[in-house]
Amino acid sequence: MKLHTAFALFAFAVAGPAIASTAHAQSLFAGRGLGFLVEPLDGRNRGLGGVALGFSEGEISWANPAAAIGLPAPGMVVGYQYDSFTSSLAGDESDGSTARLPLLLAAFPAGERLVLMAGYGGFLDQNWHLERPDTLVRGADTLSIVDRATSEGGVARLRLAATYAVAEGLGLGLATDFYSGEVERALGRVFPEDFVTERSSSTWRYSGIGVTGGVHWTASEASALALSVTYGGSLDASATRGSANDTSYDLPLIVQGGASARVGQATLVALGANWSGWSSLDDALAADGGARDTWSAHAGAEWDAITIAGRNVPLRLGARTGALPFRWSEEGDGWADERALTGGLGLLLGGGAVRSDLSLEFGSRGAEAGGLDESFWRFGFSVRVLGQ
Amino acid sequence: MRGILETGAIALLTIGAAGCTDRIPTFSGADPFPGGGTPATLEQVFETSAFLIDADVYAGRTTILDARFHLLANQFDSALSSNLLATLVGFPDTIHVGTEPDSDFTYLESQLVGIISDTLTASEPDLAFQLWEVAEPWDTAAVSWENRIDSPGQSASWAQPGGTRGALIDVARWSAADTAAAADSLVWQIPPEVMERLAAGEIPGLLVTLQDAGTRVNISRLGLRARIRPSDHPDVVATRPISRGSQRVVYTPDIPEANDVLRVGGIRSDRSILRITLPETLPGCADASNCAPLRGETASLNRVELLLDPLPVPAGYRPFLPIEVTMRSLLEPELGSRSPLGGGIFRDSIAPERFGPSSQEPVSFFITGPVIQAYADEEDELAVALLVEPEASTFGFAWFDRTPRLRFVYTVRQTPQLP
Repeated sequence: MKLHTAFALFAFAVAGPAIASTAHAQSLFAGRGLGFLVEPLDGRNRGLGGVALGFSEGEISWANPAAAIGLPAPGMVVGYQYDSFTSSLAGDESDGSTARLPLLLAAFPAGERLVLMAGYGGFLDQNWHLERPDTLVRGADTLSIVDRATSEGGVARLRLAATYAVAEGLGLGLATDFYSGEVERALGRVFPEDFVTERSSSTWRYSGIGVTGGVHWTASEASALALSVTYGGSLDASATRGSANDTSYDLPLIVQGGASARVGQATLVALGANWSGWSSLDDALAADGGARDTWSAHAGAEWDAITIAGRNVPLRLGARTGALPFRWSEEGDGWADERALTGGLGLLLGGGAVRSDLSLEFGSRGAEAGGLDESFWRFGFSVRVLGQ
Repeated sequence: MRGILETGAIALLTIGAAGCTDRIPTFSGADPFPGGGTPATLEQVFETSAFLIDADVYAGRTTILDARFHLLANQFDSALSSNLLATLVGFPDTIHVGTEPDSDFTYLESQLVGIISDTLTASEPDLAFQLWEVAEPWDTAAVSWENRIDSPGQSASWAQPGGTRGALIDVARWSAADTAAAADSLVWQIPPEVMERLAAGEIPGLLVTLQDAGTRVNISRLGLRARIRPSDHPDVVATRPISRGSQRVVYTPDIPEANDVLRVGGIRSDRSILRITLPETLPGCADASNCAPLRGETASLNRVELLLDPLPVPAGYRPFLPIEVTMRSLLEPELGSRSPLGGGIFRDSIAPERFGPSSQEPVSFFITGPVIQAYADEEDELAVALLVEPEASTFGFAWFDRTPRLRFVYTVRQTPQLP
């Protein structure tokens, strides 16, 4: 067994359970709607402003199952991200941080035209804690209490996918996502000493199936264009503990597009845009603020003229902006946007068989009159390994 | 080789990064709270008739002989008086100085010593302790305030209740302002001639009383430091401890009895037993007429407590220190006082002032855990005993009114839902 194949299997074994386990909050906006959307991107995508598809060389991409066209060998990609953020609400501030592995995807060429893929990807982060101190007067007692609402868990996706090269440079891809995960929601009241704390909780297990189709066209060695469409299908939440109700959500249609082109010998420019039809859940989530369609725009540039110790080290810069789908507050417009500047670098090892990418993002999310604002930075790291 | 190292380093970095800990933000304030996320906490107080099946009081079996302290009192609360009677035995017939026995030694002025075992028991910052000769013989095994012999079928009264006093030997004074050894020590000087008579058995005993009316204190067992001068060595003083003998406390009046109170503790170690029935339902909202009641087991019980009103204890029998009242479960309540006790439910140190005439605030005994357990076990009764442990650890009693209340503070459970 080749070294890189062994590493791939090892990383899969280690990282797989980490992704499958409970995710943690990367934003307080996770407390609304279905949570905070987790993007299974690798370090290169993040460094390029979140452009996730439309690169000329074969990629192991979550955003577009057709991107694996032209992949020369079996491989896999593991993505890691660390988020640190500060939320402010009505003059109150709270810090949070989280580490996660949102992406684990393996690809196996099966013949000259077909590539099969399997992996895990993050989807919805539903981790948040809220507290509200108050005072109660009951009889002779004046009680300092704290009301607590918590949510722990989220939704991940198990993906099976295939890419087929219908013509030179033109690939079609199809992916089926099996939703999995669990969430526990709890409401409680913490009393002073000598009182018993109240805590009621319910737990749901998620299931469901979604489908993503994609097309990738490598127009030339220097440019490519891609589009993917995700039909979210149904996300079913079955109560497994407590007396809560089962519920189901019709997940939206998501369209992602991206393109890249070399504008010089060492410079690549990438552009992307996404649209999500989350407003289909507006009625279902009305009591929680509602949902809206969202868009996002992404742009980045990669400069790979630098070599260190004989190794190519591409540098990346990018920016992105977009809207969050779930309404935080009914006061003001209550809808939040997110924007970030990104940067990163890559490192090719093992003769190009191992590509490690680092990224750093600085951004903010919030609404002018929405109440909650966050600033964040995110460190991303991914490793793509190809067998030989 | 280089490729192996590089690949390994990347693998370690990936795995290490995955191990970073998470910190979930916690926000305060009203705005971000999910709709419907505020629980309702309610209070419900049940009067005695609604829950009390019966309340029984049982006299314990301990006496003043079981106490680890000697109570002295002089008309405390204009009622309680208590004296200490002591005999001392073990005076030597012969002492040895060098190798020679000496039977002709003489006693010098000696010291009777005691300790105020807990200075907080002193009712006043300055106390005077009188040491008397006892003028009449008395039965060290059966003596009381009224009788110097007080056994079944035989009794003889004191000429002076509380111990007939002979000559006053000495007065020891104690002040709370004293420091070092004097802070808690009592020392009486006993003249040589009294020592000679004590050693010869010519004095039936010693009597310790408090000089001033309205005072009370606990002291420890007494000991005598006899100072002896050998006949052949006038420059030598030998000291012999003499602590054997009987020491008895006699007191008056008798323990007050009252049938309409719950008695706990005291020198007799009384206990009260309560059997209560748990309510099947609790109001589901503040205005019970506007909502369906909650079954007891469905509410989140934050605190359940028995509220007992302390009562003044007469005749000087009120606690003088904080009294540690313990509540324990009763395993077989139908056996009454013979029921074995279960585990401790609650223990509270109740200030002595609570048993004074001006106390109005009830004493709370938390029974949240047993009530939750009873609901979980589908039991509708609970039996508890109120007592003081260890037994006879306090002279004073805790008295409570026989009309306890049962108070529930509970929260209406919510069912968290997904949006």
